[in-house]
Amino acid sequence: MLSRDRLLRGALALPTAAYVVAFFIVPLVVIVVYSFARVSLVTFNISFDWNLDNYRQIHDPLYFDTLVRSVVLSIGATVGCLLLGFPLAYFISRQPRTWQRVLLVFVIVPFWTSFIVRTYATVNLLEEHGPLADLLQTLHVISGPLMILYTPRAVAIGIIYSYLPLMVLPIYVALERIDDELLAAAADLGASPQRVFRRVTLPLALPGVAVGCVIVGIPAMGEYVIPEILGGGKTLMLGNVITDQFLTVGNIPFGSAIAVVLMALMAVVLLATRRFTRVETG
Amino acid sequence: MSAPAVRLQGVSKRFGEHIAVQPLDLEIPEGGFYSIIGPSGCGKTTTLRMVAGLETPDSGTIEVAGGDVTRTPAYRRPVNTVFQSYALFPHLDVYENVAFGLREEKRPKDEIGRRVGEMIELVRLTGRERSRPKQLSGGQQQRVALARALVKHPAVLLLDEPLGALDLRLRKQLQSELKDVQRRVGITFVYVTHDQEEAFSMSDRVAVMNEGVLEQEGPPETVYRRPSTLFVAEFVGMANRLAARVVGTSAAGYAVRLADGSTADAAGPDGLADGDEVSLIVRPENMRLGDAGVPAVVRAVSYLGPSRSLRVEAEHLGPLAATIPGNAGPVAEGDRITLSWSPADAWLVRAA
Amino acid sequence: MRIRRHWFTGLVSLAVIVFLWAPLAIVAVNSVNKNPLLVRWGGFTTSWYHQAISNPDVRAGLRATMVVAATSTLLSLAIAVTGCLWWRRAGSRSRRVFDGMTYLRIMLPEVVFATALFLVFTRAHFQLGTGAVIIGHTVWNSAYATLIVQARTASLDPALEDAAADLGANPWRVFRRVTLPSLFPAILAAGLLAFTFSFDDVVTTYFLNGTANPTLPVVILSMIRFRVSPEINAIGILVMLFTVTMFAVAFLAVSGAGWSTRRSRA
Repeated sequence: MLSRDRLLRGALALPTAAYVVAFFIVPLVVIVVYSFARVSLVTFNISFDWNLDNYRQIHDPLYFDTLVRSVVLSIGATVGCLLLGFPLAYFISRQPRTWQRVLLVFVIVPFWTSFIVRTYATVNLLEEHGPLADLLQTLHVISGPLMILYTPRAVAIGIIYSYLPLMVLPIYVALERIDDELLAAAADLGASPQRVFRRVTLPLALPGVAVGCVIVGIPAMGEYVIPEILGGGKTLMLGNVITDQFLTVGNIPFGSAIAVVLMALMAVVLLATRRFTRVETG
Repeated sequence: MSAPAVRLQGVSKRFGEHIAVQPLDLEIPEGGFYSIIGPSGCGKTTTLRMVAGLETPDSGTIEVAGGDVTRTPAYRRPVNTVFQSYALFPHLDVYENVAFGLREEKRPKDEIGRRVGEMIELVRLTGRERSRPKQLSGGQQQRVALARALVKHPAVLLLDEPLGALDLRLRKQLQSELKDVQRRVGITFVYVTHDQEEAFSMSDRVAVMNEGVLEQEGPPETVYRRPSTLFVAEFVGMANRLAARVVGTSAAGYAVRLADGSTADAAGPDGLADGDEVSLIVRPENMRLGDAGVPAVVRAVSYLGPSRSLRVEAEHLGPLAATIPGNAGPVAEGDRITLSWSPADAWLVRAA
Repeated sequence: MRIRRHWFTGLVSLAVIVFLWAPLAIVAVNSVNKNPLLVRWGGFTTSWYHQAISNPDVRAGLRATMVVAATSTLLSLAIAVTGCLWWRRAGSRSRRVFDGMTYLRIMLPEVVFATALFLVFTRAHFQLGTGAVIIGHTVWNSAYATLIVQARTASLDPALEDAAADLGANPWRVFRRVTLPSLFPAILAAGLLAFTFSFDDVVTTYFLNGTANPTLPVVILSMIRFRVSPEINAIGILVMLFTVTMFAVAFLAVSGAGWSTRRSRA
């Protein structure tokens, strides 16, 4: 009876374990292995002589710029999401319960639309003579056509647009726990609104902010579709370079090396923010 | 003589470092109301779950109604359980909850209908068959749990502190109902609780457990008046504990010398020898106010209505508790009194 | 709504919400805009919708997407449910490995893992196509499904399964009669979510699809690349309606159906 129980439990773990090992762990290991290989671009023969050439090639300005741009854009988009998302999360968390739900629906539903549709919609928005251009022209912010499409700025806007709800939600959850009475008590003890914010609201919201930054920042670094559509071939991020190397150029070892670098970046970010994403209970 | 309802031999269980049950031998006779009592963590629930088949013992054998079930999984044992949280299936109504076990036995539909109907009537829930568990009160849920377990006519019914979540009045009412049902149905009930009074009021026999060990087992009166260990003496009721040494025998059983040098007669278990260190146990209700006996000063008095509870300080013998009838007295703080007791009410327990 | 006290954040919130909805509104408006250049309003028309629905590429894409999404969802649910059932009785170290693998599959940029699978499949001479796409989707779909089902299994009362076993149900019957009904809302939500993620996916599909049978998102992607036609807006709105509905139903299943089973205490 004892061993039969154990056998049954083991059988339950099998599907997940087998699938994850076969189609997740093994491929990732393979990528790491291939990043040390060499390919002949004439014969497309791959030889394993364990060299760091691929990693050295990343230092080539062409690719290194892209690396830097990916990191910069991802940081920029994260900051953008934070600047826009925090006030929104704060505002929602201070509303009565029913209004909170209504507002959350407004924030989440765009996220539920198809990802490609959203990105395409951003293209429409940022067109040279599109509605945003009309708006800015009317406000006399710009005089000519809006030249923002297919620039890094457009890609950043696109990322912010797609990932904003992911920033709003964890911050909202953290802020929602802060009782209005707590803030009133702080004010009662003599703290001005700015000090209440700095000494009470902000520290309690920090875990939510950290979580939001991680779930926006990390996927943003590996984005492919947004720079593809909004960058129009001119602005490339790591995701595009990897895709390019694999599917167009055929330099698989090099593509693998870049993928490994991306994984390393992700690991660094995760480890660095581990301290902040731990939530206070009670 | 028929086989005992449950027989445990050498049954033990540990969880990691913690030994929940030391090798245990226990026989539960057929047909009565049996309780296992003890403080939290004493191993009574673990023992119950091993009988049910929900935990596997690390050693020993378990027999139910004469058959070895040690290797039998829970769903094949002739044992059913009433759980502490009732564990009613929330997605089924009362009728389907009670019928659950019968459906597993693949009984024909009209037999299920008849038996479920009888059982629902027995626990006085007629008319609530279509209700969901969350629509019922705690007491009603408990009765559904009872009906659900009983309808399968198990050889043994196990109850794991089923009345814990109910208020005092409801608990007392359900205690008498449970006792009633057991007498009517005739199935062996094995009841686990930490409440000594509850167990005593319902049981034919009681087993006291402490830290995984069975301390004593027997009819409630025996366990109360003749505890075999200090732990049992103090768990089943208030007890005055006087250090003593055996110095001889007497009509009551033994003669002992107390800390103040005086001797007293007392009853005790067989096998005590002169010189043995013992504790003399006298229950507060057996103390009498009188002219001869132990002199003491009253430190505190509480009037409880039917009784008066005294805390006194006796010279040389230390603090004592006494419970006297409410109409005896009056007694006030600071009074000098003498306490005495009959040797038949004094019991010796081997010192720890 | 409390606006006065929080007028600054309220203003920012309004701007952000407009920012979130404006592009979608534009797509919606343009989907019925007669003017094919979409520079200004040309009158109301449903012709773009007719064009979209009758476009053979779109129809084929939709069919392919449905097959992929349905299969991946079923596989993902099977993996998620078995995994969560194991997780309940697992030790804390095994649990941490399991959870780590789940989060890793979600956090890892899709591009990395899609290229990895692409590499393995091509080197192993495994044919790229619908099968490969399904395998790829299931890797991260099963992670999302696991998270949702796990939240529910964590709150399942183990006493219920003890009771079922006690009353004579063998492990399979316990699962069927007690565990599964309790898990049902979570399984439904996880299934709808997995289906929608699969339906919507670009990166993994793009790498593993090969040349035949593109799914709908890949079709849309190539249409956007070549700026083929304003019917993209119509397709976009139709897809949007579909995904929003799926998510909405999943959300209701999760929040409405009574998350807790411990409510029945007096």
